[in-house]
Amino acid sequence: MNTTPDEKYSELLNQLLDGELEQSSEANVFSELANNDELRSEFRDILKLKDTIKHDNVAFATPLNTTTALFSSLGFSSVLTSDAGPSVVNTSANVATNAALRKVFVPLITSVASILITFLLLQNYYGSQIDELTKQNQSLISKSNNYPRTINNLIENNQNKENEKLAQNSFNEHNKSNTKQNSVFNKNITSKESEQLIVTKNDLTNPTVILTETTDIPKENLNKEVISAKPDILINESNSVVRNNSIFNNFPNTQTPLLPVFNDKYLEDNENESYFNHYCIMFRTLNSYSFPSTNIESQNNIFFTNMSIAGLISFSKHHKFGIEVGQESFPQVFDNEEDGYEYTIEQNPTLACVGFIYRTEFSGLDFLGGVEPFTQVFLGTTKYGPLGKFILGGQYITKNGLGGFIGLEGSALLYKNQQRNYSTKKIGLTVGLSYNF
Amino acid sequence: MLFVKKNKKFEDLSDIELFNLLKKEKKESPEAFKELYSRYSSRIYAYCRRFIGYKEEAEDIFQDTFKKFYEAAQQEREMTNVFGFILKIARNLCINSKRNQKRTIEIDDSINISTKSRQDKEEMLDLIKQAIEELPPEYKDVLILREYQGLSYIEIAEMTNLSLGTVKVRIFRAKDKIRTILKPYMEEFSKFS
Repeated sequence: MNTTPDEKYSELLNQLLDGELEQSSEANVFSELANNDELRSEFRDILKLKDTIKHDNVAFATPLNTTTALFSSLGFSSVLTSDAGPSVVNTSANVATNAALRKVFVPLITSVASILITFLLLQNYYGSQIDELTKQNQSLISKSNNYPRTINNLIENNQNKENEKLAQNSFNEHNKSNTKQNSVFNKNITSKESEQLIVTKNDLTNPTVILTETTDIPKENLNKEVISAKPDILINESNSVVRNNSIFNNFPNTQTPLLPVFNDKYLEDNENESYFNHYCIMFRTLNSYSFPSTNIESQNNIFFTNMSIAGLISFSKHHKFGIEVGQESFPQVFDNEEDGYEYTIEQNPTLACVGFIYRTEFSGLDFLGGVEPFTQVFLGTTKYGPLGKFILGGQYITKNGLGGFIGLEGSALLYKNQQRNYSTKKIGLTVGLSYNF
Repeated sequence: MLFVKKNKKFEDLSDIELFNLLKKEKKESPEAFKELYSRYSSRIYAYCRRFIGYKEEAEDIFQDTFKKFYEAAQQEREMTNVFGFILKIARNLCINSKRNQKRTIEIDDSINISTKSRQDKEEMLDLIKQAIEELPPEYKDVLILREYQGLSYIEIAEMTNLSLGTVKVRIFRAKDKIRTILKPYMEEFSKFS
């Protein structure tokens, strides 16, 4: 093939850039490059062409459905455990469907969870109405059914008929005097006056009649469960009602909440109370921007992506500690060298993550109208590397323990490929529901 | 590669050892195939994708390639270069498919270079893909083997049964044609780069 002098140098230039030029010709090409503007322009174009082709990731991304179909046709039971290529390209139809599902699914699951929690709360609290004095009657009636049963149990354990009679008589007398007094006060069970503890249903139909004085029960007469229990209802002069949850557990037939009450007042009024028996369950979702970002759709787990659930335990009034598990997509862009070529790989895997969370809540800031600022730190791991998250937000918790929160979340995933470290940073908005008990 | 979860036992085996495990009645056959697949599927797919152009057709040929490879591996044969063998199967299937193909793709003259909305490199890549589509199969073949598969001129000559000189010329012509097709766009891009 005849070539013009310019073509000859172009050809040599191509060979040079492909690493195929003979050493003896290199000097000529360099010399021509120094003097020939057009050749230099060609040099730049070829470099650009080669560099651009290196970034043709789509060509190297074997579609997952193709792999699946191939393996299936060969009779292999399972597909590769992960994508064979660096990233997987969906068909546009699949991408659209997944995007639509994802858009619908998160609000849908949140709504269902909200409805479920609300239903449970209503179901459990309706009828107990402990915070309304006007409805105390019903509450007390329902509880009155349990007092005789408890005392009967005690008496059965004691198997002392004389004590039983004495106790009933004493209580009846006691009750009459209480009716006259029409007073409201605290009642405590101590170990002295066991014989006096009997309450009848009629006595409690009058809302102003409440057990009147300290009543002691000999230890030997007591069922172990009752000994360990504290009074279940304390009604003080301010008419606030506080329940002791442990004793409700001893009255299985009582119409009391299955889920106990978390009451801020209770916490505030009991500074010495152990906080380790206060728990919290959180469910939250996340919308975020990532750095670096990629246009590749996350392939797996279109449901339950960017969601997490956590369980926490209080260890002081403002501090909680717990575990969070969830799934998030983390776009990744990293370099990969293979066969002497370096490719930039983009992928967007959905990663399961698990870790510990530490949450600080700043309650008692009245000027915020009940909204409590909080911070939360997450330190955990994914299959690709460690993950850290920080949330700054505000929460509102009702007296029933149901709460909602919103916050700004920053997170960072660290990972490694071919001895090089990379990271994906995300910033976004997190919203969620919590239930405190 | 970090993100390909491989079976450690097979990961350490050579191509030839894996190929020998593909023989009939061997329990390790599926795992050996998966390992080889994970090693070369992306490069084979890249060849099919860029040579054929049409995604669906490229996927079909890609699947056929590995099916034929698996069938071939069941027979007794000596193997020295597994990747070359798979690539040869893919290449033959692609060339046959192109021969039967009447379709042609034309570069869209109205292509709008919008540097604001998309990355220059992505646009450039789209243009190059279209330009590759425009190349005659014989040029396209060697260009893809060179630029996408990273084969040397000699390896391309062996693969294609062409002389080294012909390979050199074809690669040069292929790049030159792409440059010619992209010339107006190259100038446009150089303004922004």
